[in-house]
Amino acid sequence: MAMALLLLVLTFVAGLFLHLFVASSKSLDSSIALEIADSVLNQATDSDPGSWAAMAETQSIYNRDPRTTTEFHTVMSFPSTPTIEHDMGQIYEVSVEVYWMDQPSKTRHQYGRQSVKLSKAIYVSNMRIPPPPPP
Amino acid sequence: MKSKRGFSVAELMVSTFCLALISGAVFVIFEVCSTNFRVGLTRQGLQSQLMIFSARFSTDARQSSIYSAWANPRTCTVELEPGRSAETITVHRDALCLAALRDPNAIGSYQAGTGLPLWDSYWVYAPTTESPTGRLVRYRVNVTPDVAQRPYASFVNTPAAFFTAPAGNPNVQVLAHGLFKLEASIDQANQQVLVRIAFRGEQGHTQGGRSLAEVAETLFRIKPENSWPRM
Repeated sequence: MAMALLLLVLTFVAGLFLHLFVASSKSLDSSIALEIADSVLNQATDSDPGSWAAMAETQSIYNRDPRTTTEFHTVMSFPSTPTIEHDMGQIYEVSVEVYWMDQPSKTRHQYGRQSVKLSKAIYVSNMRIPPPPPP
Repeated sequence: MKSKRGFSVAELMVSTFCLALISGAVFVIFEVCSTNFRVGLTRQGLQSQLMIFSARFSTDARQSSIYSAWANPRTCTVELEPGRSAETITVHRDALCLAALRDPNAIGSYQAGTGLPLWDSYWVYAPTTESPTGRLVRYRVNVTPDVAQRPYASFVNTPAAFFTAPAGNPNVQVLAHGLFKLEASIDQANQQVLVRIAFRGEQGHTQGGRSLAEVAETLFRIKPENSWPRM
């Protein structure tokens, strides 16, 4: 009886710490992926819609292990026609999904989703200012 | 009649064996849990450093002008596992400088008539070269207010003078103590400041001698909004 109780307590404690470990892994992965997604959205904000598809890229990032890199993949999704159109410009709803380790939108047991997704309404002005002359 | 008391040698041996087995299992589980807990703490620390840098740098870069941004490249060799392995790696520890306003809310920070910012200072992000992790120092250098958007001349001409914070500068702030690498570049074509930064944390090592060092790297791409003309 005592042995069974001890075994139960040990299993519970081990499980608890394992969950803590997994939670900290996911939290760190998500933080890194969110910053990447945000930087891609910032890049998209200042670019023409024609170049958005080319922004889907793979970043090799040092994550956890200082010797090896983890690949963070970016998937861009945006409508082919603007969400709102006006004489002054158009608004597109652009989404960036960053995933790691596996396929996008896939989940892993006790870990959950291995991706993050950010969206932004991007205004593309019809009025373009010519670039400044070289210094 | 002789009373039967105590335990036989066989019983004692079996119970001692069981006790040793349980103690061993408890020790292994304790070791695993302790390692997991320490790794969790390290990751929490890395995340905090990422967030602190993100908050400061995003604001400074957004409020600045791309024409004033300048990065001074520098590399240094750091140990991967100090004291346990001679393995080294070369990492970037670049310094970055951006024009700033001491008080963006003050009316006097903008030129009367045009409303253009009167750049009166520069933010300098200077990493130190300690191994395996350095400090990330952020400090302000005050200059004569001017609407011209240009890199800080002293930072461009004498890069070595800015890798350490000047003594007596009250605006020195250490943003992180666990800086592993900082790679900064200026993308003039897209008018963006690019930073790839990594922090390293370590909470000891396992009983087997395996290092519990962890690294978290991410990248920032920020457009300074006070750039004129804009593309």
